[in-house]
Amino acid sequence: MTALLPQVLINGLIVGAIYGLLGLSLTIVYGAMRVANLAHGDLVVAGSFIAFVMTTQQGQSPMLSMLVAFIGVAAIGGLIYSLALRRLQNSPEPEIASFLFFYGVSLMTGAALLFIFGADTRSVLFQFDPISFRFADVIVSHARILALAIGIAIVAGIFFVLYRTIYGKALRAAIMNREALLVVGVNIDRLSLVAFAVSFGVIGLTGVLIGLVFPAFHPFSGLEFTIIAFIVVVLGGLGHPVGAVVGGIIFGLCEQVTALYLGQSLGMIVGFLVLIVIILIKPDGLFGRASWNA
Amino acid sequence: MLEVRELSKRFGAIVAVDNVSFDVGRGEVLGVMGVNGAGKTTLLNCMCGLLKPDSGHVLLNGKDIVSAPAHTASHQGLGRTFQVPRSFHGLTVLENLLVVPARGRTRTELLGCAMAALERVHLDHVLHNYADELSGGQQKLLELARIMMIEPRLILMDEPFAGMHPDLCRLFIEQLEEMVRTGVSAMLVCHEPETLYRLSRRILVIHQGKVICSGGPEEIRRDPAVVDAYLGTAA
Repeated sequence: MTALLPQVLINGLIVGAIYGLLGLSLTIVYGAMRVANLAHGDLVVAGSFIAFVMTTQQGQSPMLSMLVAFIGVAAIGGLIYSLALRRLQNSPEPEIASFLFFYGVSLMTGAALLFIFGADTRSVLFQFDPISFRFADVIVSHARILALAIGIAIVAGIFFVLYRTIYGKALRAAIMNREALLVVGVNIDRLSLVAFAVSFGVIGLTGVLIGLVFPAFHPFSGLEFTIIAFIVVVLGGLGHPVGAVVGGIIFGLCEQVTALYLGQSLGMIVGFLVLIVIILIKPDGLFGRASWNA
Repeated sequence: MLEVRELSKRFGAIVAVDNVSFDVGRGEVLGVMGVNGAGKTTLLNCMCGLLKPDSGHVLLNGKDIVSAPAHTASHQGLGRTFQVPRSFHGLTVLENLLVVPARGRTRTELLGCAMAALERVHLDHVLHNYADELSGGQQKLLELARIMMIEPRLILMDEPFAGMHPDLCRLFIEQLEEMVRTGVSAMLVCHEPETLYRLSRRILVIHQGKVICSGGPEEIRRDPAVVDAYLGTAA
């Protein structure tokens, strides 16, 4: 079984990078508006279904599916922000109101996918050439390499914007203290709208990557991805982008190694155990206080 | 320069700001006194757009800033500092200033403004440190430097000297006085009467959301309502 360990570690890294993307978009949505997006996983699955339609049914390339999923889910995010979140922020209990709102979006998304695609499990099928690559004893599918490369590129792009551009620094400042940024004249509403839409776009794109890497999905797979996203965000430190990515990789590695030694079904349980241990040792998560200064 | 007219704000049954009216002239430092919970911070929040008042107007150079989006108040030259300094702890000292909108300035000009502001508050030697590495007093100075970046006409200051080291306090006051000499106005909420008497020729005393007295230090000291509500003993 030990001979399989390098293979499992590579798989864990790839799955972990995707989980990191899941956590990164969740943490930016949380940071931008202080809302917990309970529909996170459902929108990821919506992205997977976009890939299913475009790639499996229409024969288009996965890259085009990513573009369409990004734009489509970003548009949903922009609409949600413009039509609902602005109003919810003015309610007497904005956190509870937005929590319930996103629970509703979660149920609605699942129901809409069920209505359109039925309850069967679906897969994203695309004939890559070559199908896989071999590195010594490790075999990695073309789809997984593509998912890893895209995942790394997206994370690098987001980090570049957040840490190297004035727009990203303003967004981080808004997350640290909205009122202080407002009184120096920054249009936080517009900043939040863009951050929200882009984060939702990343959610859709992550759905395509999940469709490529995971064998199958169905309209109600979303809950599992929502849970994983929350685990990796808390593991890394709430509101910390680097923490979300590191948390995702740790969770992915734990899940895959556990599947090898203890069985697939124990993967998430071990992930939760790791979360509990880290929270006991470091209650704020690996990257501590949501400092955003890594 | 600033006209506040019949401003009111309620939180349920509590009237935090009750029909308050006053003016602030160009280059004037208007002091504001009042016990904790008197409504001073709520008044500042209503004036700078962080809270929407239930009624009333705030006119800055004739423009009503209450009905406009909150972020546009600073575009009219209104700055605000907070009792607990609100630095962006995960950004460097310099970045704390560079997030201010350029508003027609080039990147180089904005950087020049930031460097000049940091020099004025003696933080230019720590410009690449993270803001949370600064002391509380230095963070207040950083907040003042950030306000300088918007080229303010009026600054609302909420307890700027609370818990500040005397040397930093002196520097803060020097910079405030320098800005006032160039025509900038200020509204200074402060619990220390002697500091207010020194910096302000006119002081508002607020009690239970209402202005109970307005005048110079001597008038304030002698006013029976102020003595009763705030000072405790005849000064």
